[in-house]
Amino acid sequence: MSCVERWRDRGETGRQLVDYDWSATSLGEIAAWPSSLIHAVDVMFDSPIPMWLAWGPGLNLLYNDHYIPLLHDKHPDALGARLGDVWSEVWDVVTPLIKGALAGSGTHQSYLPLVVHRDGRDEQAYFSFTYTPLRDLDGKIKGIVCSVFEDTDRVLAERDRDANNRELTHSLDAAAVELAAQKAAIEHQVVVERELAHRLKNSFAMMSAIVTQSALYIEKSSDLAVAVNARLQALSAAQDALIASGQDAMDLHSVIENTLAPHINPKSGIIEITGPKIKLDARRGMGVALAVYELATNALKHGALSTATGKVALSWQVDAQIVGLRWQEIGGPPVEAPQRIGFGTQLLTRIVPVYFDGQGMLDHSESGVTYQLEGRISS
Amino acid sequence: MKVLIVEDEALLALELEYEVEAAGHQVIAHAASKSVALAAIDNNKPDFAFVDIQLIDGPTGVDIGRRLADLDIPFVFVSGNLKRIPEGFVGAIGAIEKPYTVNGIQNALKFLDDYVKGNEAALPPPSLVLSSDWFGHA
Repeated sequence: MSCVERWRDRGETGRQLVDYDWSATSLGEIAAWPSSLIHAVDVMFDSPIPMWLAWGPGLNLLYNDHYIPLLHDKHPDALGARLGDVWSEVWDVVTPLIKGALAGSGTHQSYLPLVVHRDGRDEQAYFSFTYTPLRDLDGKIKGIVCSVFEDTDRVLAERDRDANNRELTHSLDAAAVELAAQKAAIEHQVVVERELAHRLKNSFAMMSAIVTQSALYIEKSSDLAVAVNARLQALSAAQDALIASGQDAMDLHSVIENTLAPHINPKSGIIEITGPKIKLDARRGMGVALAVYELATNALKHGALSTATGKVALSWQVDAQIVGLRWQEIGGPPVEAPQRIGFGTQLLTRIVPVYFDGQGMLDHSESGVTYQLEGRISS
Repeated sequence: MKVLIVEDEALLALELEYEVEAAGHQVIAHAASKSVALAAIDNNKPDFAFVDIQLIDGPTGVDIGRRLADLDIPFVFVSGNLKRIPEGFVGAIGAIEKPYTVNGIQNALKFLDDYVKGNEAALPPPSLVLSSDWFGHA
């Protein structure tokens, strides 16, 4: 069987090859082709993978059907054309390899990146291929045979996968950071809750003590209820200042204003409040609230605020971490020292000063009651 | 009894002091921190002590309890959270949970007074949680 008959059955490129007018090329009519070329074309058509061969001084191109997908719109014009014309856009890159093969050194490339012009645009593509020299019967190199795979899809898939992996890693890192933050928040929450539970229990203990202690000094149960209620309200006012501050510290101004508000209109001007802005912890804030409440109710009942002319100056200053708070009543009726020590006096002189690790002095001088509280501003 | 009160909440210390004195005992010192408490123990040689765990300088009531145990001075812990007391109560007779009632304190005081006097037949009141070690002594 002649080679032309054989090749006509080798698919699209086989038919095209035998119908091509080779007389216009350096290869000449098929009938005149050397047996070494015919043998190489047979190998090419028998190959199960994409293959081309280029022969003669013009390196005219022949290829099998498997190679068509790599050519895109370069097929069918590529068949018979010069290799350098078909792949002109990458010729600079492959010329050294072509020259090497023609000089007897075949080459093997893996994932070689090439910008190819296909379907009307430049495209980044990747190829793995071998160039092997083709010799005539005299051993002279007359052409090149090439087995080739295009790796573009695989490279892009790998790149996608790498990008996904990177993204996944970033997401995992971000999740780990988020998880650590949440864990820390939960741990903080546990501490806050424990502290809250402790403070709540302590509040109940304080309330319980206020009730029993007040009961020691007040015999009439209706009076006792009023006194206990008012003292608990003073504690509650301090608690409000604590909650408003959103932390374990309260503003002294707020504590005093909250404590006085149920009893005295702050705009009446009968209590003049002056002092720098300072923060107190919960214990000290509660202490000030109790003290100011006791002083104010006493002043309203018996002291300066029981008359229209009386006034109170409430002031404080801080020096070297020592806070000095002074309650001074003026313009009231003549002061008489109380017959017996009440729970209010106990609070002012024995209890509240302990919160400040300091001292509380209550003075019933005739011109007006004064109370001086001095102690550390913080622990 | 000469009683030491270790409590950083002055209101509660005052109340406890009142109950102790009302029961016929003498409060010889009040401490709100470890250093003051240890000095009071050395200077006043109390017969008995009430010890809060959480003081102004932290959970130092435990250290104060150890010191009392070393000197064989009987004591009870008074705490808002009995779980904070170490296992074995570091030698305390027991613990009273806050907030306590006047009755609870009175009953506990009566039992503790009997105990210090060596009256082992006395039954502990419900307000007093006894240390597991204490049963060994009894």
